[in-house]
Amino acid sequence: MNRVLFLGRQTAIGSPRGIELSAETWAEPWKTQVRVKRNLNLTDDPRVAQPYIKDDPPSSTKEVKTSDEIDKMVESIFRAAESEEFEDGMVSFFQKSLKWLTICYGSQVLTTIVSIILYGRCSEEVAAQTLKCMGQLNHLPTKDFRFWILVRCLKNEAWVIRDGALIGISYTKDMFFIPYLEQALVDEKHKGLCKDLEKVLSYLKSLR
Amino acid sequence: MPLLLRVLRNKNKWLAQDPEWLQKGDVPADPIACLKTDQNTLSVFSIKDDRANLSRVLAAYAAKRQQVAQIDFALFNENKIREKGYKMASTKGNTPDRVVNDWHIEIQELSGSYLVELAKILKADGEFERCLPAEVRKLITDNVHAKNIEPDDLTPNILDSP
Repeated sequence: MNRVLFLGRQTAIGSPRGIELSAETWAEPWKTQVRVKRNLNLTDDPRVAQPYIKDDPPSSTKEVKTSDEIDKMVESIFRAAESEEFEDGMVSFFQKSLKWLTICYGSQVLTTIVSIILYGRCSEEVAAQTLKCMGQLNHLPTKDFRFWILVRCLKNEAWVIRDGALIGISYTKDMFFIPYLEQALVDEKHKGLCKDLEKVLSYLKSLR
Repeated sequence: MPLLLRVLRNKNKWLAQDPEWLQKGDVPADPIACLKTDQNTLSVFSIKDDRANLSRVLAAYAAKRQQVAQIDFALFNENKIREKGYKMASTKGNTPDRVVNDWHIEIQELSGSYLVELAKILKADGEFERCLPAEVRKLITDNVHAKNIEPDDLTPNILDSP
């Protein structure tokens, strides 16, 4: 008789659970964060620091990582996220790591994220969480790139990803998205998403 | 008609088109994951007929989170649940608003089949809504100003989050 092994999810929120990662790989983003935080005298809350951070991270940080190393860090965070259980309104380890990496390494990180999402190398749920982060982040140097990702994902085949992009957009409070949302509303087939698109559109228009 | 409110992980799972293989009257498995039970109990809030307490319940729920985020929720008919024989009990909620805590209800002694039956009721008759992050922020702020929620009971810096 064949038996099936079922591996359940671990449930703690915001704690590292990438059991497939080595301790060294796991620690890397945090080492970087600590270094950047020390250099810039930041608090634990990335949002507090955002207005003061330029796209150019401190030279000490920049020298440490090659683009390959950054790619590996991003990929490892995405792998770990597959076993993370996300809950709206709760800060996840994935979200924290992604925001910090984006602040530290800017477009290099976003390029890797785009390839992971668009080539379907992560689950729809993780992609949606990423897009929410892209909208939450208030980091001017990466704004155009993040907005492009959000617009691009509004047309994604998977409704979960379109939904993530829409929630991300609702965080931005930016009228830039209005024409794209109007087009998305024309194309959208999911009745729940149509209602949400209308709601976000009307909210952004109310900001005019 | 008294209503019950259940917060969901993603209300659009309930509104997605049914897969072709699904039999009529059945419910897909994915949305059921939104009905996470604890001790075979499902946590809901009672909403008045005129929905006058809806925004207060949502604000209280949002205020116990770590950051401002959208709230997806379902509203469904309390009478239908009672008619089906579900065991319900008022218990103290765990929000920073004492009044809202009194509107907390537990649907108890849920078996697997009862949970699926509940999901069917929700799918057939539930109203699925989303409160955007900006709306959630306003709800929290309004309820803090109205002194329904003590600022000290909020997660520190919650209103600074994007």
